[in-house]
Amino acid sequence: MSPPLSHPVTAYALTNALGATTAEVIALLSQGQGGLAPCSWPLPFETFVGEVRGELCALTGAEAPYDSRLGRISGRVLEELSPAVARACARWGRERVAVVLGTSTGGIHETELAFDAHQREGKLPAGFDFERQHAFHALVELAQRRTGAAGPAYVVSTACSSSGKVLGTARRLLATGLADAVLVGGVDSLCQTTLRGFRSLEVLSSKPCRPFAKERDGLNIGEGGAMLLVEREADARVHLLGVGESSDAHHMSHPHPDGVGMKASMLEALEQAAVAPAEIDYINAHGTGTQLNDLTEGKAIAALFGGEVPVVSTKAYTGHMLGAGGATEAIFSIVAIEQGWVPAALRADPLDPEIPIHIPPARLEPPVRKVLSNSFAFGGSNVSVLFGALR
Amino acid sequence: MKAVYAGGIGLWTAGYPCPEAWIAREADPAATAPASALLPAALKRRSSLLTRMAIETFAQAAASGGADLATVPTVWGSAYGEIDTTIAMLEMMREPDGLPSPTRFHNSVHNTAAGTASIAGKNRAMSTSLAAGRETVAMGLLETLALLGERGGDAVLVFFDEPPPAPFAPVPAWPALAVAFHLSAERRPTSRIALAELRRGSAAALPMAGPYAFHPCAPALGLLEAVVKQEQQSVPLGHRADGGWVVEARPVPES
Repeated sequence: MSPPLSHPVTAYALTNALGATTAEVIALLSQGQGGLAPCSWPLPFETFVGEVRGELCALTGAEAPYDSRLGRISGRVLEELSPAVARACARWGRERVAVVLGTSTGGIHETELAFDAHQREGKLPAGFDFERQHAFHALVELAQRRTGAAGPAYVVSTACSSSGKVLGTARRLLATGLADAVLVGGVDSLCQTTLRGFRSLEVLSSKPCRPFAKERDGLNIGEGGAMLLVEREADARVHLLGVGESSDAHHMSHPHPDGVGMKASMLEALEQAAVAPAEIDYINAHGTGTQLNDLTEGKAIAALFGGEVPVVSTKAYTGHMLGAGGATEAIFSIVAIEQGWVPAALRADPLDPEIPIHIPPARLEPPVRKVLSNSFAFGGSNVSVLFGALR
Repeated sequence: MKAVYAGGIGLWTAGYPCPEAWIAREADPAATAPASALLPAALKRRSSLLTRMAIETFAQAAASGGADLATVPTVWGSAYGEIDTTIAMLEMMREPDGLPSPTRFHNSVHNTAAGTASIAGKNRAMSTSLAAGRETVAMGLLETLALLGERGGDAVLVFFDEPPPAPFAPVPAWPALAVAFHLSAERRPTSRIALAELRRGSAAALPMAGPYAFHPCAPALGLLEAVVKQEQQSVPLGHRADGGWVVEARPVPES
């Protein structure tokens, strides 16, 4: 049997409610300071959101047709990551660098504004470009323009697991020689559709969310972008070791009550990496803060890993970033290995006695060598991503 | 790149309820809605026309390719996804206190067809849903080649799109269409062609009369004809001015 595949993560960048830059985001996470705030958008209900920090810069020049809230968030992340992608293009050749990004709703925020303007004025706003602002492929076109990457380019859109699943695609493209480097990630922006949609499903909290707490009462929506560069081989501390993917085959918006799909994705990631459950030092949970997700996920984790391994949902810091959540939490998992700490689980106390797992109320500094990160989505789409320090 | 094998196929568009009708160019005016027999009544009632079309072709391709509906991994490619449902929600949210219906909201995601097929077929295998504008067919095939290279076995690849509704309707207009393929890493009794060398390039497109030529997944129709005709040819898969994508098809002898 061939040894397990291992692909180095050579660069990453992200922006969200914790900060405009990667350094700012990681600093607040490390200090246990969350980024959720009352939502100031026009809504018929109260909720907290994770809105990206700082003013977003408009896209200009050749990128101007892509200017949208989604494009601006992408632009900020790409700005930080472009030098690393340029280096990969020089090393492997532009056409060997793929771009695979996740999003759940693409540029729907601009489409909402354009639709409203059309209803009021009978015509779409002059600057509105459906193909470059609304459409999913605008996201990868902008990334290719900005970085020069010219390999295969597509969006994975499986709702809230989108930017975990892009890591599965990266692993496949590298394993089969269809690319030598893959820029992966996810971007989603706040919009009326998801704010009102999750409210309609009665899973939105009116307060800051409390994943795994006994009194949790729902999730908060967040926005942001996160991207990582994964390469065929390079000198890097942390490697992508496995990506488990499964389906629940149960319900469009409820997890299977026995967590069968969740367990299957976690087990597949472990199997691909030839890693035993006891070797996992930290689990970044999907942990949305809804009654159903946290109970089901917590029990699935307890069944596979027992109650010792620390489990944290960083959605208590950023909100649920939907299609950007998987890649954001992948970066948080990598940082845990690089810097040797597990973030504090915010507002989880008092814990839910029905969930027999270790939720640390304060930051821990254990040796962190291997981390699993879960993302679960509508349609029963599950993904678990496993990162590890180089053996 | 190792070759993969294609055999089972599916197609649904208004007037053409199966690949045979399309290949024969025999329009059936009565074919206005897909049978979608895989879907239980309750699930079918809640599903959009786009989801039902996609699932109809998924089931056709799985049946003609001999795939197990309960275990086969699936790849779903669609440039715009559930755009009709998405835009309908915008209308519901124009009222200050308007909320979309919960069913519409969870059925607006790009992976609605993938999730619905998995629920209907009790299929817990992985599936993925992707979009790449006019390169959706090339990128869907690429993802499936990578998947078969990584895991072996087989997969069903479905391409489906409906035109965005007003005020975002495309010009020129194109009709809703779904096309599906059953692909396998190893040759099977149902295999009809081998596909290899997915690469950037261009090849003469099959002449395609009418509005289907403007469909974002139009290259899937050329790929479908290649499977049926079982001839050696370069199949064009993209529309990009700077080259697009091509895959080499060659017949596999009858076994």
